[in-house]
Amino acid sequence: MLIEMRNIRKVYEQGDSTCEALAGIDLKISQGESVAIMGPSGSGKSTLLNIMGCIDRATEGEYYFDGKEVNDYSDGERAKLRNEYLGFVLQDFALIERYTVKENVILPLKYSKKIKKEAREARIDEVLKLVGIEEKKEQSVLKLSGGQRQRVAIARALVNEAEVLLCDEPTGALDKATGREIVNVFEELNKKGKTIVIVTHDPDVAAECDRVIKIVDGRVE
Amino acid sequence: MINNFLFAIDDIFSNYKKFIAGFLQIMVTFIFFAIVASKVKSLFMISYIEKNMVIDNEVYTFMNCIPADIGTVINDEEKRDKLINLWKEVSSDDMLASYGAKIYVADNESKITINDARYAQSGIAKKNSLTADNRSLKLEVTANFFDIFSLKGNFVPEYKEVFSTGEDDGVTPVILGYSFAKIYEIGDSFKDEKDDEYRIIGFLNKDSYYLYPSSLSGEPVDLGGYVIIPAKLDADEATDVCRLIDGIYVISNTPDYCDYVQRRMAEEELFTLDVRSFTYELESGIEYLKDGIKVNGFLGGIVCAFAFMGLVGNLVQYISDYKREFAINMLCGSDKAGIITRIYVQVLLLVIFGIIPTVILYGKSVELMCTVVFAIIFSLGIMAYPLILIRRFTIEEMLKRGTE
Ligand SMILES: Nc1ncnc2c1ncn2[C@@H]1O[C@H](COP(=O)(O)OP(=O)(O)OP(=O)(O)O)[C@@H](O)[C@H]1O
Ligand SMILES: [Mg+2]
Repeated sequence: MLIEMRNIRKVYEQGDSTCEALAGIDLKISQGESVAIMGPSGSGKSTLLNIMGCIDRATEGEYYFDGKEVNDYSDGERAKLRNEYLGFVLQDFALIERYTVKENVILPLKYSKKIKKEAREARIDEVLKLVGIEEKKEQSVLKLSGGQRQRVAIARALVNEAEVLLCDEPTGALDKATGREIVNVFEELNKKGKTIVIVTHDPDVAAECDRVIKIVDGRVE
Repeated sequence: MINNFLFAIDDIFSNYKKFIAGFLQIMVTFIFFAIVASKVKSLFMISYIEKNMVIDNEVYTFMNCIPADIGTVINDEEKRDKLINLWKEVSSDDMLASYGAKIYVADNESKITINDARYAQSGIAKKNSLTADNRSLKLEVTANFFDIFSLKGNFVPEYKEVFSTGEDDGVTPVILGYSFAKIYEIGDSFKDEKDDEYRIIGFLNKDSYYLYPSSLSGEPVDLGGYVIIPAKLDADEATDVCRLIDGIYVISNTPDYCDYVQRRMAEEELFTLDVRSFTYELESGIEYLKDGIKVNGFLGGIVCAFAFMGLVGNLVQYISDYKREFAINMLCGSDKAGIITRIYVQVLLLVIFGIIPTVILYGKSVELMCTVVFAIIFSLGIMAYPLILIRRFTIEEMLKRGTE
């Protein structure tokens, strides 16, 4: 099992009031699976994805990634995990806008020794080709359309050979047709063996996945 | 690590105007700090001298051998002779004995060039005299000078006699400050620019100070870089007599002898001398230093406060501007420590650049060391609030656009 969560709770404390975003999540995702996470707004989908992506820590519960309990990992170990095993594709792309496409895509490699310096250029070309924007390599991100930006984000998520792509409403900022193209990219990647977790409101996107996990009020329904 | 360093450099270039402004503020802060440190150091040195000086009574000095007067006396043959004769009269052993006064001489009006490759290469001259030329500071003293200021060191056993009488072969005996001990040994000799030969009969210990009081600024002299030779001022030379008047210190329990000399000088219409006691010199020196510390400390404090607030403000602004970028870097594999490094490297570079002027002004010195320690504390102080800020943020919060 690649991802296994047991009784994950997340409580946000704001002053005196607390907000239980996740109220005990149990789930398993195996290698190579594509999973859609759906649910109403505020149900805790992003919170769940953030914990899965080691962006945030659960208040309670166990989270095993590839058999290892990672909730208690140190900051540095979690950063390494994000760098080497996890790729993020977010609704607003999370790109550095003053950078070029290449400068964005190279970021994970800068924090990693996995791919040697000499091989980086070729690796970047490879992933850009995979997402179909190899000719935009030297362009500023600002000049790209939404769909192209999301492709850059996917390229960046893949560049360091991540096992899992964690996507939070990746088509949310795109029109229907462009969103469709992005979903096709995910499908391609899934066929090649990548594990894909997509948080989405769009039933059409969810329909393309192997499985749908429905979250309501911080619980799996 | 190297990544974050490069990111930091990149950020500095993106915000170079702020960096330069910060550099100027920090630079001024550090210079003020070094000035205050230097004055505090002088205070310590003065109290060290006070503690260690071996005199039973008081020491008096003649002040105000005004350069304008020198001209009129030296250029007038009649006056010149009068001066020489008068000085012979008043400085005779009998005269001194009749007033119960003793004297020592400490004259540092001149410099010396040591014609020696070791010396030239050592850079000692430059370091010690802060002059561009290759000369060292020279002090001409009488042998009792070492006792009076309790100067200790590594000397040949009979150094006092040698110092008073000179060597048989006409070579000038010389005692050197501790900084020369790196390149010379006792018994070595060297020549000066006039080809006169000197033989080393001892080295002073570190922390050898004396006070040259005529300035009233209370700046004690560190003898570490000095070349000390026997006073060989010639009482038959009017110019030398002028220097003697300046360089002579009278040990006596009353100012009577000095008053007498002062009166005689006036009678003969030569110099208008001022007699000052060492106690007065010391006290006014200490006052002067304390005032200097207060003024510079106050101004420096204000500059420091502004620099501190300005820099913290800049950092907070920078973090707010770059929050999202930090978060993206963290998504890609950086941890918070990496982000903090990226910020601290910038502060550190600012501080390193800011301290360069102090290095140039003060060289390798106690002042510089104090300033470096202060700089490290200052940089950590600047980082404190931004550090708390960064620690509080989570990645998802930082990813959100807009300002909070
Ligand atoms: N940083 C936070 N501090 C406090 N409360 C939070 C924080 N982040 C999320 N929440 C709360 O946790 C709950 C779950 O939020 P989450 O963002 O996971 O929902 P979501 O399912 O992704 O919603 P949406 O579909 O609108 O994106 C919400 O009630 C939200 O208000
Ligand atoms: Mg969400």
